[in-house]
Amino acid sequence: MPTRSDNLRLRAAKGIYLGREGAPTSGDRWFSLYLIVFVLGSYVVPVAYAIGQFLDFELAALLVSPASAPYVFGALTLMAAVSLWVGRVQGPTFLTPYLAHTLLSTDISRRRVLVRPTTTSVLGIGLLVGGIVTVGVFALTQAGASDWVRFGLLSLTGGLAAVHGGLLAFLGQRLTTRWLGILTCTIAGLGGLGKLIPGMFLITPVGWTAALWAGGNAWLVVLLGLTATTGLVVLLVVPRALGRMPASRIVTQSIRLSEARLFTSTGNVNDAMQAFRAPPRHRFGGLAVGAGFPLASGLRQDFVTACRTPLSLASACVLIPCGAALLTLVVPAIGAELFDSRLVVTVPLAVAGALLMFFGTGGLTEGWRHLKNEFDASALFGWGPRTAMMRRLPWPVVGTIVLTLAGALPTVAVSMDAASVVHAVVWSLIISVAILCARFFQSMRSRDIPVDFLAPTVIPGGIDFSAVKILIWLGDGIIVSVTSVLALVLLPWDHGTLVAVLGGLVIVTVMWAWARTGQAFSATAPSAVSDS
Amino acid sequence: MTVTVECRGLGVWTDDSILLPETTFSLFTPGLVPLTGANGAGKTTLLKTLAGRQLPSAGECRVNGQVPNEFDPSFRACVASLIDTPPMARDMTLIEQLSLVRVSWGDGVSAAFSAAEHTLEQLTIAQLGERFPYELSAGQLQLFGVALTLSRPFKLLLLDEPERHLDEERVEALVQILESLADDGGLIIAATHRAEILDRASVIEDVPVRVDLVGPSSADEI
Repeated sequence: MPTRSDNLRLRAAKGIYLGREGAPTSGDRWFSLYLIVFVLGSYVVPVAYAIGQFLDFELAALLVSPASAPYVFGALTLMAAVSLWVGRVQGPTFLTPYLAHTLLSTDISRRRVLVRPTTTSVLGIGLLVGGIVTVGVFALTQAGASDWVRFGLLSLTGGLAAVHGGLLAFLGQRLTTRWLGILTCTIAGLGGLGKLIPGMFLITPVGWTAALWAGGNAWLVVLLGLTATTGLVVLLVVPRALGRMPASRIVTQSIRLSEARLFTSTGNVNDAMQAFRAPPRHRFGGLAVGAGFPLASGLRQDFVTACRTPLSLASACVLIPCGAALLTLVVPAIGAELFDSRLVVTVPLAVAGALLMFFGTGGLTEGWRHLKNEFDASALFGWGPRTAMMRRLPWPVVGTIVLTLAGALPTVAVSMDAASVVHAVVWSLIISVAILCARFFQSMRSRDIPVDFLAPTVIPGGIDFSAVKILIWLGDGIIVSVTSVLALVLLPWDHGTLVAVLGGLVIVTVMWAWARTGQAFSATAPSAVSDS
Repeated sequence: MTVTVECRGLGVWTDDSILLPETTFSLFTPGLVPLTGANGAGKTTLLKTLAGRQLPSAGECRVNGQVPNEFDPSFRACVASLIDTPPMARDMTLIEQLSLVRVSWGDGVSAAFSAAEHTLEQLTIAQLGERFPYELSAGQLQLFGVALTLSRPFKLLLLDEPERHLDEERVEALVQILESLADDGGLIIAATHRAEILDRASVIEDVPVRVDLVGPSSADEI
């Protein structure tokens, strides 16, 4: 039986842990605070101010007008459902693996062990997202879309919405998968109800937040009170729920996160991402293997293995069409003048679309990651490098193009006239090719950061460029995707430009990617050699 | 046709360290040849050089009279190796992965599945055929790595501590497979520390054939 109170034991354990060598000191914390203030003051706020000055008043006013309420409601409903499932992958209840394993296996109540880190995380999420929203609202206020009272209200709304999101993530972490499914369906049902029946969206906290954001409601103070009270009530329920939090879930999540951080810090982004991929399920036993024409057998293999990782496939099926839809919305503004105020909207849309599509292709390109491993290891398969690549091409290419069209065509049908359809479809296909090139380029890079990148690279002016090189290496696929999409958005829209940009991009990235494989393109299959 | 391996003054080093001291040996007959030496003696480096994945700093080595070159299809057809963990598809079962290797070398699909089952059986892990790699223990993963490598044809097999993580029963099963492959005309060079493998080295004129990396400047063939 413990002779000291749980609190004292916890305090003693944490004291030892915090007193370890390398633990952050109060000086480190002050320095972090100084860095945050410095970056906010010298970069973030001035940039937000500049954007606010540049922003078109009508557009800015539209973003916080009552007309935006249904869109904000829809977006928040989607985010609520996503928050639940994000919590299943990594929720706000977090301890380092060592602490989680040590403290959760004691007889101290889980509620006592976990309540502080959980509430700190939830409030931290609120503070972080609230801060980001505040910066955005600051830009809108500079554009004249709101006064300073509204600025405070909108910032508070953002923070409260984030706290709600953090609490939903907590529920996702705590509940069983069955309850998670029920809750997701409930959120979707209430979202659908709010969309279909006017005024019904005000029955949920998501609706209150949307109404607070959009303004124009006489009961703003009541809505604010309701939103805050709901958050507080759920926050008060958290300690009770923590008592039955499965220790294995906390330990697994914390080990995964710490491994991902370690891999990221050493440049092994693929390994870091691997930690978050769902394990494959047993289905279609034996069907993955087929002989014969490489394109068909490779397609079969990739299709079967994709069906075994339905979450990855589902993420591709959601992210790629969403990205394609965003990029299709950009079509009307393609070729706009560089000082056209529409670019304030189209450029972020294009960047977001490119990122969504790039991340979405990750769910279809497991075969390319395996291909790279195949190239890096001793010869195992009886085909040459060209055949190996051909086997792995059809699934990502066909999948990406189909999903791109699935996102682009409905968007075109809703938002454009018939004359623009061909234009938009061609544009979507070009984008998908560019994104695929970027993904292939990234998939073929070495597993570890090249050692020479870690050595100092001094450029004129005595500045060490090595950190930039590492960042470029880490984000090369994203950089290629975003740059090529922006180039296509900003360059004049004519066939010559398209051919030049796309052709150049395809040739450079594919050749460079192939150089990364370390394989000779002319190499033939080993099995072609006779025994004599 | 049997395979031959010849190394003359083969050495590998970097600016500040010797990875493989100058080594000379010749192997002309099939068999199981243990490669021994203390940790850091250069066993893995020697295997990598023989596999064509490491360029020598001095001397030369030849496999079947040719300089190892992993880009040469005939060399790749001749030499199989298990030096690092082989590539494993996380979303294919063991039996599928083994079959795919066989299919890639020209087997029919059903024959490949049968042979894959047989390989797993030989390695005493037949019951794991429907599992994914992440569902295996360290020892089972090692056996699966061995199974993948043995699923492809070869004349020279290079193994780096194939007994890693294995219990005595599995080591025995592995040694029996290696002996049978050697009897069928394969040359198997296995870096090892385990007596079970050292004791089963091929014997020529009452002398066990073994490559010992013994010091910073030389290696002996016994």
